Amino acid sequence: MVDHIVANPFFGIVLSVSLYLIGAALHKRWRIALFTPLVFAIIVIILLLLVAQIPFETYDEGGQFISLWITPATVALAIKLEKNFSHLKKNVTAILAGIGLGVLFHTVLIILLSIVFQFNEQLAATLLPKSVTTAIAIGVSESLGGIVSLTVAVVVFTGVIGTIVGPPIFKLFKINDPVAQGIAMGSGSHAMGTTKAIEMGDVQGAMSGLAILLTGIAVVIIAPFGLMVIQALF
Amino acid sequence: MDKIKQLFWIFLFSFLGEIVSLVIPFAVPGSVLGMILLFLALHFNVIKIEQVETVGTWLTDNMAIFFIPAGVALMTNFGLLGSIWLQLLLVMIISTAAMIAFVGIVVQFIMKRSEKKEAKNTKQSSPSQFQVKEGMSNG
Repeated sequence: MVDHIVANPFFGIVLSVSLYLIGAALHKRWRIALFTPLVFAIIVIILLLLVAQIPFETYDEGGQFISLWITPATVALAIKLEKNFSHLKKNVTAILAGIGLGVLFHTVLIILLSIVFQFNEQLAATLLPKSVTTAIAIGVSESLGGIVSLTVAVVVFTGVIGTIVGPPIFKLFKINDPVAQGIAMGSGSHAMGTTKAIEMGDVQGAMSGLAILLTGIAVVIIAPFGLMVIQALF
Repeated sequence: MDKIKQLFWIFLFSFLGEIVSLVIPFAVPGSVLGMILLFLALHFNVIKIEQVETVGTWLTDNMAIFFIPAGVALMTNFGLLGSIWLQLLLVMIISTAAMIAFVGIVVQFIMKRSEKKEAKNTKQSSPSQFQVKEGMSNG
């Protein structure tokens, strides 16, 4: 009986939407990162499923219908991009340089951290594409010889971390320009970071959407060189 | 009916993106290609922005909710994370925070520097130009 109820697609849908709304209500009252609706819903649903011993696949009977909307929502970012095209045109050098240097910096950092924490070659390859959107990350991880399923988890977790640490970092380093904020969110934490950027403002949202694309391209180009360094070092 | 029409365009470009993604030899996701295609269509006036704006803005402004199942899927990897989860978590927090800070600082630094240069060049002709632009970028 219970099995049949939770296997109904509306179980996953109602669970997701209701916890998102509860998170939103809590976040309105207490503005702490844990109550960011997305973060709150993910944590509570995982705990609930674990306690009730419901497998992820059962939840995903409904969850998949929510995930399906990621693609049209990403496509619709084009509207923000078109409306804010003047920002892109005016700052094209700053944006390209920031993302290009950022991906180089991130590659070096991952290699250094992998050495510090004594990760093996495979694990380093798994982590290299962590700041790009899932579909690109899978392709890169695969071609570098990483663990694809772990890359997916790392990408999602990076997104969650980005939405939490982004705003305090901007305050700390006095990064207050909306274009710089948007590019930083998108290049550091892909589409999930973009959801936070959209909350900050329209310009941030548009620039973050653009950064997903440009960072993806930069990682595809730079990652193979990162792999060569990894193979030489490990 | 208008909203259905708007949805149609967005679904159509999502589908086109997925198709192009299958055809090209690089690992670029269909969603990103769909975004590029829709942007080109809007930029070159194949579609007017009003034809997709209401539904499109609603989708992007509520985008976070669509990522819940992807996040919940993390639970299927708990076994894989095993004994290295703490090190992994540290690497992810450090590298993500550093990346966001680095990119933000670099972009802002270069923008400010080129604005200063521009200000110097246009000082004689139109000194008030920058006030206008600052106000706009907050919108």
